[in-house]
Amino acid sequence: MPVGSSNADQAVQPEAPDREEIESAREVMRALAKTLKAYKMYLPEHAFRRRFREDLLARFRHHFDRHGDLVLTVKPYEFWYGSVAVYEEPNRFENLAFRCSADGLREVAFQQGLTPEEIEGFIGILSGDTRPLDEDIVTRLWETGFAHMTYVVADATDGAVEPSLATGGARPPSAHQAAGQPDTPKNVVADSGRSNEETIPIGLPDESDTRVYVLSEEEILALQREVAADAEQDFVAQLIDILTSMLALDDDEQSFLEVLHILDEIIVTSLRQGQHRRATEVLKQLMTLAELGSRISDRSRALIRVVWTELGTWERLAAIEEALNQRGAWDGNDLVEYLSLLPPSSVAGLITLLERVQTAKGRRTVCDVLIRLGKDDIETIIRRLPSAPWYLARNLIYVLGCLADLRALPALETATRHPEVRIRKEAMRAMELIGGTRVAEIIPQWLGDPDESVRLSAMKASRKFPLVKTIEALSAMIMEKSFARRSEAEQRELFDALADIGAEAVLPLLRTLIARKRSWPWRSLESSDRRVLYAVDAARRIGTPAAAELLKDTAATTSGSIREEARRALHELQRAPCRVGER
Amino acid sequence: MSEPAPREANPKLFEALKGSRIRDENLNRLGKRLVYQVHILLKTAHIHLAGNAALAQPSERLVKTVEEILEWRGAAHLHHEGDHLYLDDLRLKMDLEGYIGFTEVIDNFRRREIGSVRFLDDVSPQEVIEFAHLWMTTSTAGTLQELLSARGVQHIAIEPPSSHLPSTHPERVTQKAVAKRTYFRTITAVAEVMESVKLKQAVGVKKSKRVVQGLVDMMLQDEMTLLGLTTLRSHDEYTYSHCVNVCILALAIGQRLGYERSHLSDLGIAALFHDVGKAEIPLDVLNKSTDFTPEEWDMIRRHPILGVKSLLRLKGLDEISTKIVIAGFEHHLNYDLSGYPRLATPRKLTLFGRIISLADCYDAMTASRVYNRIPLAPDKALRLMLKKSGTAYDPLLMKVFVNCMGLYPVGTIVALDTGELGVVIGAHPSPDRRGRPILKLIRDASGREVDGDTIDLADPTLSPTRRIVSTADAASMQIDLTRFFL
Repeated sequence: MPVGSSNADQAVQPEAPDREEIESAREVMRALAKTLKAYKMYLPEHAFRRRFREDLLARFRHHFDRHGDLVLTVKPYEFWYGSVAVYEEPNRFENLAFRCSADGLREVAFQQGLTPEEIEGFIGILSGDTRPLDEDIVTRLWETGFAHMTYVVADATDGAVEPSLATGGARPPSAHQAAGQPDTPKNVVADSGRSNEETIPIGLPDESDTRVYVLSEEEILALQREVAADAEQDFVAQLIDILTSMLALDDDEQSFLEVLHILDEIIVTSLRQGQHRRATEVLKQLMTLAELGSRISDRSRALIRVVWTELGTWERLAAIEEALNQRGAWDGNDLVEYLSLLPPSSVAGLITLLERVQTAKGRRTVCDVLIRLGKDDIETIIRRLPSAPWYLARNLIYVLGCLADLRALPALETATRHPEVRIRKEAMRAMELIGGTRVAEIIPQWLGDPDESVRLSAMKASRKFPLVKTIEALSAMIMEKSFARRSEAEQRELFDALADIGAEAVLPLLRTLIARKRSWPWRSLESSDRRVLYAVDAARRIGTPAAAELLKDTAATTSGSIREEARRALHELQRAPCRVGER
Repeated sequence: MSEPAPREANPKLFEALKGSRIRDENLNRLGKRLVYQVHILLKTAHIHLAGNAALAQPSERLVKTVEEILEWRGAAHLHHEGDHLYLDDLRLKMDLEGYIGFTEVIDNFRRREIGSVRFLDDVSPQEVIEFAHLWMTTSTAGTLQELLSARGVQHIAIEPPSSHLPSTHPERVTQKAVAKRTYFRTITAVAEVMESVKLKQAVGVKKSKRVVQGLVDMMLQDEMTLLGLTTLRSHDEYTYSHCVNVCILALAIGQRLGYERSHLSDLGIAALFHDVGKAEIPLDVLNKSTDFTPEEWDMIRRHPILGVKSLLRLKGLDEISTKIVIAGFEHHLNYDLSGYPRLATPRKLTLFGRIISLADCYDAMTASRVYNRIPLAPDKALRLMLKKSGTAYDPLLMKVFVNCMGLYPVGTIVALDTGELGVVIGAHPSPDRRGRPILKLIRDASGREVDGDTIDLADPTLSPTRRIVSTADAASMQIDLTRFFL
């Protein structure tokens, strides 16, 4: 708190400090300067900042213990202790005294009991960014109100000139007054627009009427509650309310546009600051105003729609890029709610946003919104697909899959031939979700994909689209020489898929495989045994009586592991018989 | 009775903290607590007999508070002067929270002609209980002190009233000079911002913040001096002085409501620029001396909306502009929303808006407006406003405002039954003295102008006694108010 003017006389001149005291003060100022530099150089959590701050506090305490308060005079480029300069800095832009002096500080006193929080706060004021039009060191010191610091501010030298004051009674009385009539105030509160028809009260106030000034306990409580609530008041929400009220008045177009523009800026600023709920509220209010049936003109409604549309452009959506790219856990619900309010024309802007988002959670969030809005503008997504980089294409394909719109099939089919395997897989998955005969027809093609994971996915997908062509394709893959070179997982999956799709229709093939096990041209006993085992297992999967017959025959005519496998499969069937389609 | 010597406080600590805010705030807090506990104790003693267990807790609490005060200083000396309570030399701030306790304790002091109560080291709860009961049964300080001594109460001392700090006291004069300087600096700050708005330049409120912070500090120390300055008017620059006056009046209300310093500062800034929209209205309309045309009225009524747009356009959306804009928009709406601008949907006015509305209207009514050269006398303006309590104005805030201003606000010209004329320079906060303000005599019984004494109409020792028989307005009597408040 300022304790006075620099023009005030000092009643008592303190003793001149000795050398040790001056040196102690100088040490404090050195520590302060170093701490300020550390705050500029290092991030808030950095250990150096804490170290410098603790050193500064120690210097203060040392001074307090030995010499009492530390009172510094602020000169334009120096701090003085007594009559000695204890701080100097040749670089004016780095000079702390210069800044303090320019802001009007003339003396600052630190007192015993100074806390680490107060030092932190003081350093924050000196080193933090201020809004030079609205605040300075002195205003911030006042607002913070340090308990263990006092300061003196420069007296008025800012050229404040006393205006010439008209006197309240230097005018002749009115005609009314001269006639002794009661004076009805003419325009007495004209500028406030209140009714001015009341007659001026005559006589004296009634002192006995305590109702006019005595507050009951309930009234005091009510006021206290209001004051407490006021401290928590959301003033920005109040302002938004006012602005939408002004819009609802639907003044001239220029005025309407101006207010609309302000609200538009509030939305974008809120998005930039991560206040998505606020942005949502404002947008909702605008949309309510624009609804048919509201009292504003069609022209005004159209203007709101223009703003609404513009909010979905990339230029506006860019405001949320940072929020989507933040690491760690964050709640995207408010953002999804805001984005979902945007018009379908926002799809293009959202795609651009999706391309720039770097976190999985951020991408998921945008995808969720694209799924909601893309229903009404799937063409934009489809059109973007061919030219999209692979990481974007993959997400767009995901969205198209969720939208499950047949119109996307041609583009997705093209994507199943994409060089990037992740794209091919995603496209397959998306087509699977959409379904349709074309998907069934294209599965054999996927079975021929150079990547095993794609082939495996195709085999899994083939179960949903059981076509003869697919059975033939699977059979061919089993019969080919290349079967031996496939991984065990793929080999097994081939037989499983064949059994699941073909059922009894593939039993002849299985029988052939089992019977011809020694006739395979590759002559690898191991691989031929493995194939027979897969065939036996396939029969088990089929599980029909005919399949059981095959297993019986196999058990009877083979030996070793094949016989054991056949017996085991048979035993399983007998215990819990199941057929394809019942699993 | 030989009074035990006061305890020696830690002199180095005390001296180190002397004048510092930590000392003042702590003592203020403890002082208010002491007042409240005295109030509770006396109330309880009024109901219960001396041996009743109900008195144990209040007395123990009071002793504890005294001990805390004694940690800071050597004595806990509660005394009253005028309508204020002091803990030693520190004037205790009365706000909403302490309202009832303060007024009752002051009333108790006054009725028994007691000036002060001094609690000494080692005071016991028993002594406090004894003190409370004797207090309820005696009528003067002297008698009470005798009885306390007789009953062996050694650690509580009673003293009769001392004299007031006269208005010519050097400390008062200095405060007045500082207040005046701050007032005019605030006008300059307002003018600069309004000019920026007129010229559509970026708006900064740094200077305004500094001066408003100064006003807040002053308001917390000496409300009456500042309120006296609101009687000043600038005829040609009405808008600027009006803004400053509204700021001061709003701060007075905010202080009574118990707002914290930084919140008071926000209120002050919002009040200072509540009329920023008028910067967009041509001066020849604003200063027009005849009736407005309908188009000009329309322009005037748009100034709340103009203010919103100007400020947001020039300052952008930040904490300060938000509060200014809200206050500016709301200050003509009226409590029941019957004002302007008309709203499509009802809204609950913010507390800031309601406070500033009151302050704005009072100052406008009492001003020498360009288009109405005869201002309303302050008491008349207040009564006119009271008629609209509940419709144009928040009824509870209206009461708080009357508490601030008194029934005869500062600047009211009053005629006394002695034939003298005085100007009100201070009001009494206590309910039973609201109708008996502090005056400066300006004309004697024969009607001659004098530089008269300052008298307190509520002072029972005033001789001859005087009472108010009528009020007048300064304009009709050709009285220049500025010389009493500058």
